[in-house]
Amino acid sequence: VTLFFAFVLLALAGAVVVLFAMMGELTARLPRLHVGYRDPFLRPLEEAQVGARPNAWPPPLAPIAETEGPAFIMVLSTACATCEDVATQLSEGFGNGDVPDPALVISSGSRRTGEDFVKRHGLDRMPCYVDEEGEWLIRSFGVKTSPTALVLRNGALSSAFVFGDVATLNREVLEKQLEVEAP
Amino acid sequence: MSDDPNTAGDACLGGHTSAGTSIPRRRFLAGLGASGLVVAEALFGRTAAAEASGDCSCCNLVYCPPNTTYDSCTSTCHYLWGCAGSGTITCNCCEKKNCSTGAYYASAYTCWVH
Repeated sequence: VTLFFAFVLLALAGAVVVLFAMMGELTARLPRLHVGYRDPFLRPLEEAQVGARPNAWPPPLAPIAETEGPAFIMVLSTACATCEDVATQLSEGFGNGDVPDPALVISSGSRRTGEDFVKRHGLDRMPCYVDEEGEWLIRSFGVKTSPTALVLRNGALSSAFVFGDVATLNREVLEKQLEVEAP
Repeated sequence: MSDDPNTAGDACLGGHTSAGTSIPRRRFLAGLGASGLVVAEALFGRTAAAEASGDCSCCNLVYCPPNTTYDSCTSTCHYLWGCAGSGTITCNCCEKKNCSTGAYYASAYTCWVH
């Protein structure tokens, strides 16, 4: 009996050592797996029809049609997991004040789902349009993918990018567009 | 303070200076921990990872994992939208919906790499 308990005790001690060793190994791997990491991918959206000009503008976006310099639209969708992360980034604040807040277009299967998305992320402080089934986006710019940033000049599409990180988008695209405009 | 970067580093972590004996011990424990993690991952990791990610790539679907095929989803009333994910992955996310009420009742997706 004593020998049996000694064996059990030894096995338990071994298990505790292995557990602590596993915790140490997990801690060592933390920098590679740290919470909050997001892939800052940024690439041109091939499907976008550069030069396209919408026939009609939804009321929240109407001022963009008259904007001479660069104007920005961010396209998000309720069916896109990356967009959930981008919406969270936007709700935490947009840029450092150098870039004006973009207008938002939310593509959604239904108006209610789109409005829920806007409300959940507190995005209603920005000019925002819920585009049912993305019809306006597809018809106007040929865009059917998100998260996408549209750069417009004089109401026409100048360039379009898919992205995963708002800060990277600001730094690599939006700020540079504004620099071009600066005298 | 020692000029030796190894011992200086140890001193910053609490004054241990027995680098000669602790390194093999660390390597042994790291190996033990890594082996334990491999076993734990083999036993429990697959299910947990699949549940955590939802296994739907960059799609945010109502039914995840999908409960229909992509072809079936696009053959009837549906909402179809693309999402861009990490690296160069792009997916088409499909929500099958009731034509009259608009309620979603099935989901599917397909992905490709550029």
